[in-house]
Amino acid sequence: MTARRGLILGIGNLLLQDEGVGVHVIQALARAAGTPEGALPPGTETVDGGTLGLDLLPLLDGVDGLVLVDAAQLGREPGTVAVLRGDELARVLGGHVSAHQVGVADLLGAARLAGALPGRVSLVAIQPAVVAPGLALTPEVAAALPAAVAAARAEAWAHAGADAP
Amino acid sequence: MARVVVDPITRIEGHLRIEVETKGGIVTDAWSSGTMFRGLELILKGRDPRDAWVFAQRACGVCTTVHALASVRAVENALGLVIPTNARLIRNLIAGIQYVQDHVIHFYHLHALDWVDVVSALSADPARTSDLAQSISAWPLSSAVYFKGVRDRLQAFVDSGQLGPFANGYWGHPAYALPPEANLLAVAHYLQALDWQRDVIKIQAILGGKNPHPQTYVVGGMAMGVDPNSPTALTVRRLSEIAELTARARDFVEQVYVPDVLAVAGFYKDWAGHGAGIGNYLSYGDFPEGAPDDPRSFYLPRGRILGRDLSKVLPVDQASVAESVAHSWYTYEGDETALHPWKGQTNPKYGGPKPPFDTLEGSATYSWLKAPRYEDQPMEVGPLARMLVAYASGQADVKTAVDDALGALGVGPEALFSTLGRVAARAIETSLLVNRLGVWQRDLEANLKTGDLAIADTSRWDPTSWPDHAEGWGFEEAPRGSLGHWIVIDKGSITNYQMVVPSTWNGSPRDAAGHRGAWEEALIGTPLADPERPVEILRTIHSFDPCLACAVHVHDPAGGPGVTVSVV
Repeated sequence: MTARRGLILGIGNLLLQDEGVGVHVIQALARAAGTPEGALPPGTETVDGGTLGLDLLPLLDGVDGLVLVDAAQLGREPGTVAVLRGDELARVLGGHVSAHQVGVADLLGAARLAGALPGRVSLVAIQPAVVAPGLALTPEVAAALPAAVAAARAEAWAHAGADAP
Repeated sequence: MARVVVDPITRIEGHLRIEVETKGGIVTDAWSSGTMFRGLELILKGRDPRDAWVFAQRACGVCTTVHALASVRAVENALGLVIPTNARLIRNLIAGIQYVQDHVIHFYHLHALDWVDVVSALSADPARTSDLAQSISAWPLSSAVYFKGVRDRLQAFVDSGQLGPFANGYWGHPAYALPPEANLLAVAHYLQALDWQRDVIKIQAILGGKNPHPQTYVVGGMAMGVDPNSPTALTVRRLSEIAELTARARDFVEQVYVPDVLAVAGFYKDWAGHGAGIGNYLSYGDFPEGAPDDPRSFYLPRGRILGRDLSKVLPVDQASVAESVAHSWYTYEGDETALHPWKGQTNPKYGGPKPPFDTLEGSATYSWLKAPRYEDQPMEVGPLARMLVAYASGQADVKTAVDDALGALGVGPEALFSTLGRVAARAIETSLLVNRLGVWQRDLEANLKTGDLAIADTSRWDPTSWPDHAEGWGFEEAPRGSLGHWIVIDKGSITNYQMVVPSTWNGSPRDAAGHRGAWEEALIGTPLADPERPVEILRTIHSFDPCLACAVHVHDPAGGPGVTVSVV
C-alpha cells in the first residue's frame, strides 16, 4: 500500500493583484509549515500552480486529496472565503464562477476523463476585489488571507481523515 | 447582413476577437482584433541587450523558447557573433522538440474539437473503432477492449455534467462529419496525447534547464557544460535519454498523429476549398545545418511565395518588413503609417468603443495588433507557408512528404491553399522534424567526440568591445510562423526593440491601403450552417494556430446559474 498523498494547489497570476491570491495562500502555508500550528498532514505538498492550466495535470497523479485555492467570482463581498466540495464544486465549475474558470474546470475535467481525478477535491475560493495589473493584494483580500490559509489547511487535514492539530 | 462576434473566454495567452458579417449563411467580411496590449518593447528599452532574451521569452508561455532564440539572434547579429557548432545543434534540438510537442498539442487539444464531435463518440462501436484504428496504423493501443474502456469513461464523464475542456463544444452541430468510430478514436488519442506531450518535452528541460522558458541561452551560444568528463555537463547518459525521448516522440507522430490527421481530413475534403486567404506566404527559414547565419544551410528554407504561384520562390530581406498602424490602436510620430522595426514605435492610443462593447463596427481602428507587411503586402506565416516555400524550393524531404500526403488524400497541390492544407502541413512538418531531431542529436554526439567543446563565442561579451551604435535582427521560425526581433543598441543599452510575431502577421488588421490580414481574408466565403454556433469560423482561425486564445464568447446571464456556497 502506498502512502496517502495530499496536494494543496494554489492557482493564480501574481501580476494581477487579487487574481494571485491562491498563490499568496500557498506562500503563507509554506512559510508556516515548520511551526506547530502550521503543520500539514504527512505526505501533503503545497504547489504554486501559477497559470499553467492543463500542464498541472501531471501533479494530480497519485494524489488522494486535492485542495485547490483560487480567486473566484462568488458574488459576495471582496475577501469572502468559501469552501466548495462535491456537488457544490461541480455546480460552481459548471457555472464558470472561478476567475480561472477555464483553467480549473479544464484541469478537473481532463483529470476525470483521464481517470486521474483525486478521490477528494475541495476548492477554497476567495472573492477578489480588483483583478488588474499590480503586485499587491487589496486590503480586503489581504485581510482574508489568514482565513483562506486556515481553510486550506483544515481541508487538507479533513482529506487526511483527521482534525488539524 | 448579420454580424457574428467571436470573443475570448480565457485570458492566459491573450485575447482575440473576430467579428464577421454574413449574408445568406456565407461570411462576406471579417475583422480580427487583438484586445490586449502587450508593450514588452517598452519594458526592454534601456536594458542590457545581453539580458533581453530573458524578458522577451516571457512574451508567451506557450510559444516558450522562441522569443529567447529570436532575441539572442538579434543581438548576435548586431554584434557580428557566430555561434559554435554545438550551440547551433543544441538550439536546433530545443526548437525542434518544441515544434513537435506544440504541433501535436495544437491538433489534439486546441483544434481537434472543431472537427471531432465528442458526444457522437458515445455511440461508437468499440469493435468497429478497433478495425478503423488497425486499418490506419500499427499503433498497439487499438483493441476493442481498450476503446470500450475509453467510451465507458467518456460516458461517465458526460454523465457527470462537468465537461471541463469539452464544455464549450458545439456537439451535434451539422458541420461535424466524422462517423462515431472516428470520433471515439480521436477522443482516445486526445487522452494519449496529454500523457505523451509531458514526456517528450523533457528534452527541453534536459537541454534548457527547465520547461517552459529554457534558461541556457546566452548571447553568443549556449550556457551549459558539454565537457563529457564533467558530471553536470551534457553527458552520454543525457544524450541517450534525449535519443529515447525522440524515439517515443517519433512513434506517436508517425503512428498516431499523422494517420489521424489523414483520416480526419478524408472526411472533410470540402475544407480543401475553404479558408485559403491571401495566398502570399512567408518563411524566414530555420534549423541551420551549416553556417548558422547562412540561409542556404537551413533545413527549412527561407523564401516568399506570392499569389499562390509555386513556380517562383522570392527572396526575403529583413529591410522589406514594415508595420502599419493605420487601423491599430497606436500612433506614430509624424504622418508615417508604416515603419521598419528599427524605426518602430510603441505608442498606445486606444481608439475603440468604450468597453464593454458589443461590436467594433464603425471603429476605424480596431486592434492592439499592428499590421506587418512585406513590401506593403500582407503575408501568411506558419507551417503551411514553410511547407509551401520548401516544396517550391525543391527541398527533397518536404517534396516527398507533401506529395505522399496529397496522394493519400487523392487531391492536388491546389488543395494546400486552404484550411485543410494548414492542418495537413502542420502534420507533415512534425513528421519531418521529429525525424530530423535524430540527425541533429547524432551530429552533436559526433561533434563532441571530435573534442570540439566550444559552446559560446564570448569574445564580445564585454560591452566595451561593442560599437557605440549597433543594429541587429533575429529571425526565428516559431511553430506558429515567422518571428522577428529587431534591436537597436546605443552605448551598451537597448534604445529600440521591436518584436514582429507570427500571430501579428496572421491576425493583423487592415493596413493603410485597406488590405485585410491573413485571418480576415481567410474567413471570407466561409459557410456558416448555424451563425449562433460558428464552428466553421473556429476551424479556419484555429488552423492558423493563433497564439491568442480564441473561443466563442458566452454571455452568462446576470448572476449566472444559481450557486449555493457555504461561506467560511
